[in-house]
Amino acid sequence: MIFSDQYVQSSPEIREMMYTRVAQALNYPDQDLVAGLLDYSFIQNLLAIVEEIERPGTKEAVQDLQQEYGNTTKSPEDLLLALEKDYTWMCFASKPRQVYLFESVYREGKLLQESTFEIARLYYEAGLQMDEGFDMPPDHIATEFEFLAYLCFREIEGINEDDEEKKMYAQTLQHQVLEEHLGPFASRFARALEHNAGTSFYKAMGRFIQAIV
Amino acid sequence: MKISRRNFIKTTAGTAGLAAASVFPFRHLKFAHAFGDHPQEERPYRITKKIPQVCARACEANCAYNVVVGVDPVTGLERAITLEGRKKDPVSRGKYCIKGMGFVDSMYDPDRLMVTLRRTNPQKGTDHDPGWVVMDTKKAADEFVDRLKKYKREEILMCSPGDPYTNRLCQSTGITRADQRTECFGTHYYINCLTVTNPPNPYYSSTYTPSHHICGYDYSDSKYELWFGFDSLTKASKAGILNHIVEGRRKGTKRVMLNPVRSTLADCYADEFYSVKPGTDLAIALAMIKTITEEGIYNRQFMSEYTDAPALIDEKTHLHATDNTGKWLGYCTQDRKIKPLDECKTPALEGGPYTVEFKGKKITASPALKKLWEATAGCTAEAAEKLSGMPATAIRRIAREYCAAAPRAFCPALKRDAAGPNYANSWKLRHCINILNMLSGGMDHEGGVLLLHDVTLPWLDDIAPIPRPYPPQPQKPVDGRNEFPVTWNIYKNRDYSAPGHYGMAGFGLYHGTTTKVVFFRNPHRGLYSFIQPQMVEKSLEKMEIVADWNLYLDDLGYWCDYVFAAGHQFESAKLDLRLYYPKWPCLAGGLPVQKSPGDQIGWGTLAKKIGLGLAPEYWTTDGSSNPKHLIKDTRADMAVQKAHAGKDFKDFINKGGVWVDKKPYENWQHIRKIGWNKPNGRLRIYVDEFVQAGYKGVPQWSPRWYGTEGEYRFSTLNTRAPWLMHADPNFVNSAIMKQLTTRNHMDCVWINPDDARELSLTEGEQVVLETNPKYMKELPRPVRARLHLSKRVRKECILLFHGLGHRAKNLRHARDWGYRDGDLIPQKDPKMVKKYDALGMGWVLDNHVRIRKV
Amino acid sequence: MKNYAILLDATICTGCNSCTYKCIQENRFHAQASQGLFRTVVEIKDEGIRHYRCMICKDPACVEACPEGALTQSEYGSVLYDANACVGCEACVDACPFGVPQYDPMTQKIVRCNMCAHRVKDGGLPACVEVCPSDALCFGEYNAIVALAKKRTIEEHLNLYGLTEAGGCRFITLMKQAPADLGYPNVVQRAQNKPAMDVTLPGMAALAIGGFKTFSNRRARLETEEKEKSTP
Repeated sequence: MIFSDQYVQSSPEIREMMYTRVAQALNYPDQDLVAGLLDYSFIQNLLAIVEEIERPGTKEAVQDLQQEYGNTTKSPEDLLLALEKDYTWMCFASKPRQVYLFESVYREGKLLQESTFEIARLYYEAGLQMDEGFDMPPDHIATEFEFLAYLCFREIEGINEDDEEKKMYAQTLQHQVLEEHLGPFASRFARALEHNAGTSFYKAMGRFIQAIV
Repeated sequence: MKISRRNFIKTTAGTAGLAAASVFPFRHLKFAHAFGDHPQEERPYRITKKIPQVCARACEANCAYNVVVGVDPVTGLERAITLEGRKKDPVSRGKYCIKGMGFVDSMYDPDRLMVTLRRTNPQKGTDHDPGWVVMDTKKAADEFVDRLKKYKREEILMCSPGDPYTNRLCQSTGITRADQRTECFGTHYYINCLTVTNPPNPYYSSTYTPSHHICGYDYSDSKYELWFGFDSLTKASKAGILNHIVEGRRKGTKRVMLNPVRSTLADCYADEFYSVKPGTDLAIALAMIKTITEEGIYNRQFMSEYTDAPALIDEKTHLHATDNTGKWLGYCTQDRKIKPLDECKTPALEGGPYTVEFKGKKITASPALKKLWEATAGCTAEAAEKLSGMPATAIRRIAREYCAAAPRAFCPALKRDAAGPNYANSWKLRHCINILNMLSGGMDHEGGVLLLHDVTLPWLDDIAPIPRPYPPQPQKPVDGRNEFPVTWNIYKNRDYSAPGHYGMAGFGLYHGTTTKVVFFRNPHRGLYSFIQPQMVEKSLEKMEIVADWNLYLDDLGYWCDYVFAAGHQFESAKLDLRLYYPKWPCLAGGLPVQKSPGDQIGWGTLAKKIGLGLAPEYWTTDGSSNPKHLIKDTRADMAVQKAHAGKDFKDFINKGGVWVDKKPYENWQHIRKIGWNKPNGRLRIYVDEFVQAGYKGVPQWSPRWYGTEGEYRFSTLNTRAPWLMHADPNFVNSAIMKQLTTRNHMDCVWINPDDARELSLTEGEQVVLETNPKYMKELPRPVRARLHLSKRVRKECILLFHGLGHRAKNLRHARDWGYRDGDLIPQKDPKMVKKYDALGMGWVLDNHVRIRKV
Repeated sequence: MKNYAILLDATICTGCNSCTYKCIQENRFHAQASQGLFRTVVEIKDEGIRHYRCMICKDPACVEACPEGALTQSEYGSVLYDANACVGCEACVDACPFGVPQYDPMTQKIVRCNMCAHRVKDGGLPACVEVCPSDALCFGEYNAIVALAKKRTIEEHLNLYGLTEAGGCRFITLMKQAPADLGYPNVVQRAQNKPAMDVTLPGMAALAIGGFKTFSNRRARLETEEKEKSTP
């Protein structure tokens, strides 16, 4: 999402939902994700987002998801296994590795580089730190999207509390994340995701993310 | 469409897998402080801290250094940047090398295995998608252990070096351990055992060393050194060795080097260099021994007092003659009687056979030195010249100069030099080298071969004694080691951490039917460690479970059911006893540089899990299967306490992490404690065990096991780029190291320009190398590579660079790069091997190939 | 202010490239090195060892050639590079008689050594010198290094490269072979008594900026010089 006047004017609730759903999609697949796909709530959320943000390409991506998962007869177990295999293959085991999950790999070619430090500082600045249970580097793409969702949540709080400073601060940090972090690498990530995915889900998410960043 | 905050939380709380009550629906982030209210502390971009570490797996020197770490004071995130020397370390003396620095960057290799993988497709092999899914490492370990419980011990093969955890695991479960790392050092290890150290002894049977060497060399203070192919390019970067070699050069050490390849070490440090024919060093060594024994210029005092040279060898049994307590006997020239050596002041070293009565029995026997002299009868310098190409005059002169420099004269030998795992006759060359070190008296002497003394590291069994003897090992191990009684006896009865016969494990797995499970404790080298990877690959397809504990998903992954994510070597604490330069007792310690960035598991933790599952009584303090009573690893504390280097490991590290006891080296005294025929231990030139297994007790000339034939006339030689380590992705998967390698043509095969001209081959051309099919009967896999012409290589030879040609295509830089030298090595049938070799280690260069254009 | 020099004793350099890697880690230029662009790198040739690196000329043609003042000579003798000022014109690449500076097309900047000015400034050793496992690299005050180099040359019958080449360099190599056998370029040798251009940093920067408009073709000048030299 390019940070602009239009961005600021767009609904922070929708942005929050969008980033949350994207983060969910980019974490290792679990039963909740599959449940969301099967009970249609995941797709419904994305449809709401598409309607609000009016970004070219997002609609088609969500339609693909609708088509594949709208009336699927697959069992949740089979669906989860298919997603797990696809995700593992792309991000942990492909030959060659097709999709790297970490910002620093795109920017500096290695894990835990300067960009990792920088994004971790932004989390800190926003009052957050990494959960001990999460043992990957902090520039995991899902975490960066989670962070954006969190900033949107704070933005909403600022609005609700009539706290202009808080709202502006939350927006400034979103600007920084989008311009300095997700912007430079998320589209490369998303292209790789779309190109290499074996499942419709990741292909569609790849397209969706390309459209929103 | 607008969604209220309330709705959103409800939706996301569910989807993010958190309790609906949570107001913070995120997976990986948590609150640190109030939003917009972060502490406004000083924010210098970074400060640095230095964490002591000790190199491991990159070479035998194990330099101690500090890892320089950048720390972000705001987030606490840390990242290692480079190394810094630790001057107190007597090995490295503040130096370190490109490989050590490579380890720093490899911690951040994006291809590191961050999670544990489980296969979902049962079909194994390069043509099948394993269907990997991520599995929580601890759960995967539990599942793996549950599955293992269904197999008998004979059905499981563990491929792992003999570290404390592996040893206890394999011994407690009674499964075979084949040792992928140590076959390279096996020849050295076993010859040293048989001639020098007589394990178990207080030091070597409890030595932690990946290279299983038993000694270091005093390059700094020697006068004369004779290098039999010791100057491999691989040594060009070994900081812990180089700094000593340079000091020796400054002080005037004379070095003579023999090698079919002229390396940069020879360029720099050889006073004389001889390009010799591969596999003929043995002839040269025997000719030198002949010259020295014939001319009587050996160190007589040392040979009489500290070796079995005067010990009588019974002409009937061909074994050492002993009294009824097992003491060796000598012929005393003063009173012309046979007596135990310790009671004889002037034992005969020459002459004989002596026929004398001893305790009512008539014995006809000759001193061991005479047996050696007899064995070298045909090994004239002229004969050696004919075989090797080294001038006879030089052989004799060098032998004399070598003795004149005694006792500060020695032949270094370690790893993959000519006496290493290279030829069917390498075990004899290795034996000759120890004899040469005895003839000069350089063994256990300053300026010579330094033996480890007065410092040990405990094993797990020392801190947690076993409740009852371990169960017996399988009688017919899959690697065929039972075919080699000499090594089998040492492995089974004397030193469990002794090298295995990994080179034949592939043959055994391919032809056998017993093994159903193979577990690799893989030091990140994939199938590289195998001599016949083709056979291993084929046989792994039929295994029921294959697992690997690894830093990377490498080429083994094609066959694995589980790949457990391992930590980087800088992510664990270390304690090393500085075996490479054991002039003084010394300990060097290191701390973890960082927490592994993923769901990795340490080897000790995984081993304990498996041990607790399969043989719980050996893994708990009370013999129960209660995980709460798991044995606690206090080895490091015990080691530093024993050496008075600190109250415990922590205290030792706080004091700087290097402890050195710089007392004067007690020349020739360590032999007494560890040698044969203790309490006054001696070294052996004559090995009874060889005789008992049907070989000669002293080395004799034998040619290579097969010769050239028609087009198959190029002798393979092997080395590595100085900055690469085996097939270790730590280095091979580095884009920078790859640039260095290609820039130096070390991704090519090298031949002499004259040979290239003859074959009409040109620089950079693609060629195919093939092993003579007579010796490569099954699964041949010719090697395709680019050619580099170099005058450094002797004619009729081809130099291969080891460590490339990774088949693991998931490694960004290593994949499809270079070639795999191991594919060319003929398959080793243990029954065939034992005809030539009492030890059965290696033979990795004993091969002739043909070269043709693609 | 002292000015410094580095002596490479190629007779004990094994080509391990530890200097190469230390330089990369010290200066964090992994990305360039991954493309084969090194500030210093060692090649193992049949004839011996060859280091490819800045010769640290006393009168650096690169400094003179740079139209943007991105290259300046420090008070220690090393050439400093200001990447922000560099426009990627490659004039320095063209001007260097040793063919050392490399152009990085990705960043449109130059990859080159600055003799670890940041370390030397604080009394430290250049990173390559510090790491060398065989102490083949030696760092010190210029006159002392030259004296040592000359002494060793005579005593051990060695060849010297860098002392007189291009008006004298601060990176001097001792070798057994003839430099040409290792592919070292036969650059114009100039008289030793020419005073070294040890201009301090601000002065040099001013000169470089001032010299922008009168930027001359270094190569043409060198050719003229060579012609003049060969004319009796």
